Amino acid sequence: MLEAGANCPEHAEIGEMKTTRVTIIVLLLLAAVGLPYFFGRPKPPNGLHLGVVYLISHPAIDDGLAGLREGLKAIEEKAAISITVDYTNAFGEMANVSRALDAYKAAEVDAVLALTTPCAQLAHRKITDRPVIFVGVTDPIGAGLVDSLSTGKGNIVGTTSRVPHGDILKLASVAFPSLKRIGIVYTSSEANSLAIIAKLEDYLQSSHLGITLVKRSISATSEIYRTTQALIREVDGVFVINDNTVVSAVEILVRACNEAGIPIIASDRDSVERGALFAYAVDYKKEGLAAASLVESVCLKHDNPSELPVYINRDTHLYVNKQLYTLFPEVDVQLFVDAKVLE
Amino acid sequence: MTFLTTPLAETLQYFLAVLGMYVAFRVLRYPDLSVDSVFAFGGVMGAFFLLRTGNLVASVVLVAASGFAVGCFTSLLFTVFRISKLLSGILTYSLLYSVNLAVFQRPNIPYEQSVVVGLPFAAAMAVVGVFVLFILLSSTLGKLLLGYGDNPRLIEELEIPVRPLVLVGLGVSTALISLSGFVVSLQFGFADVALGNGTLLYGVAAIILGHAFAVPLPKSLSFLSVLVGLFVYSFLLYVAVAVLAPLVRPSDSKLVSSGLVIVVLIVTRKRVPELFGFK
Repeated sequence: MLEAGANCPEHAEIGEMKTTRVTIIVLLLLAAVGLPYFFGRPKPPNGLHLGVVYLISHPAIDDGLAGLREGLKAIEEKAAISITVDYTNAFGEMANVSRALDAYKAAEVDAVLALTTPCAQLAHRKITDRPVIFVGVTDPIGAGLVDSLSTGKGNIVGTTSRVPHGDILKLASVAFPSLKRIGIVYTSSEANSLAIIAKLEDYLQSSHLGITLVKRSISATSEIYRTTQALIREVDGVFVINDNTVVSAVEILVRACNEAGIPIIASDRDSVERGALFAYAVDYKKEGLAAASLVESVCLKHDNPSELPVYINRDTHLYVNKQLYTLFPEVDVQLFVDAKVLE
Repeated sequence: MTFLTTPLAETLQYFLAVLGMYVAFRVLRYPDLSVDSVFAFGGVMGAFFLLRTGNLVASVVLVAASGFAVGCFTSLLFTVFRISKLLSGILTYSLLYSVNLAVFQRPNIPYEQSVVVGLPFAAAMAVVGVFVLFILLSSTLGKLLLGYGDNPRLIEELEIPVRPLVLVGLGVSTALISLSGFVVSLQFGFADVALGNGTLLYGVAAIILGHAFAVPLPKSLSFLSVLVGLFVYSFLLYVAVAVLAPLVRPSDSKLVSSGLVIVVLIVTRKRVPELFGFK
C-alpha cells in the first residue's frame, strides 16, 4: 500500500515544510520553558544541591529514602544551610538512570546518591568530578565500586547492609526442629539475590544445621505463583530472602505456605507485616541516615571519599507475626521474647 | 549544552538498535518483540567475548554473528514451524533470558576500568550501521525484503523463496540490535541482563516520531528518518528528566515524558499511517 507522505515526494514536500516549521517552533518553546528552570534554578549561596537516583521503588528503598530525608533535615538544622534534593525513579530502565546522571552533572549538583547496584555502577562510570555515594548495594566489591569495605575509592564511598541470613536460619531450625529442606524463590536477574544465596550456602556448609536449600528461580513476578506451587511440595518451609521481585509479591508465598501448613520466614520487616512468621531484619532507614552523614562529611567537611570507610549496617531487629503462635502452637515462645510483635 | 549533547550521545548509542527495529518492523513488517532480550544479549555476549579475547573488533564481529543467529532462530520459528510472528518474538524474548544468564552465571558483569571505550566507538558503529543498511536496502535483496513487507503474497506468487528472505532480514535486524546492546554496555561500564528493559518501546516511539517528521530524503536513505525520531525522542525524555522531574514527584515522571510525546505528535499533526501492520 502506498502512503501519502514519506513515499510520495509531491505530496510530501508541501506538508513537510509546514510540519518541520511547526515542530521547530514546538522544540524552541519547550527549550524556552525548560532552559530557565535548568540553568536558572537559584543555588543558595551556602546551600547544597544533591541528586538522588534509584532503579525502582520498593519497601527497602523507600525506607532508605525516608532515612536519607530525615538525616538531611537534621543536617540542615544543625548546619543552618538549605539542602535541595532532586529524586529520579528510573522505572527499571538503565537509560533513565543514564539520563538522570547527565542531568545532575549539568545541574552541577554537589554530590550524587545512587541507590541499588546498577545505578551505583553507572554513577561510578559517569560521575568523576564530584562525590558519588552509593546506598543499598549488597556487594560493593563484586559490583566493582570499591576494592575493600575499609575505604572508598576515588570519588566514591557508600553504605551497605549485612542481613543476618544465617542467624535467621539458625533460629528457624531451633523453632522448627523438623525443618530440613528449605525452599527459596529468587529472581535470576538480581545480583543481590545470587550474592545472598552464595553466602547462605557457605554458611550452611560450615554450620552443620542439617538444612539444605531448594532453590527455584523466576524471571518476573508473573512466574512466582506457579514456581511456588511446584516448590511447596518438596520442602518443609520457605525462606524469603531480600529479593526485590519476590519481596514485592510475598503474599503469594505466604498463602501457599499457609495452605500447605509449613512455616515461612523472611529477612525483612515488611514481609513479616504481610504474613511471614518472623525475620531478623535490617533497618534500611539506618542506611539512609548513614548516607546523609556521608553527605555531611564529603560536602560540608570536605573529607575525601577515598579516605572514608564504607558504612556497614548491621543494625538488626527480630520481628514476629502474631500468626506464628496460632498457626504453630508448638513453637517455644521463649525464643521470641525480645521480638517486636507485628499484627 | 547537555541539552543537546546528552540526547546526541544517546542517539548514537541506541541508533543501531532502532535501525535493526526499522528493518524488522518497517521493511519486513515483522513485529519482532524479542528486542529487549536481544539488546541485553548483545551486552552480555560482548562482555563475554571481550573479557576472553581482549580484542574489540573481534568481539564486535562475534556479537554481530551471534545476534544474526538469534534472528535466524526467530525467523525459523515463523517460516518453518508456522508459529505466528508475534509469538515467535515473544518466545525468543523469554528464551534469551535464560541464555543471557547462562553465559556468565550471574546477572551483572562490571568491565575492568581499563576497558574504556568512548563515544567515538559508538559513532563509528553508527556509521557502519548506516553503511550496511544503505547497501542492503539499495540492493535487489533489499527490494525483495521491502516487497515482502508490502505484499508477502506477491513474493510467493513470483516463486521467490520466502524463508531465506525473512531469515536474512531478521538476522540483520537482530545483529544490529545486539551490537547496540554491546555499544551501550561498553559506555555504561557493565553488562546486565536487565540492560535492554524498555528498548522496544523506545525504538517504536523513535520510528513513529521519525515518520511524523517526514524528513525529505531519497528513498534508499529514507531509513535515516529514524535518526531524527530518535534524537527528538531522546531530547524529550531528557527534558522530562532534567527539567521537569525535579518539579514533579519521581513516580510521575513517566506521565511527563508521555505527555511531551503526545504534545509533539498532536502539534506535528501528521497522520501516522499503518506502520507496523496495525494502526
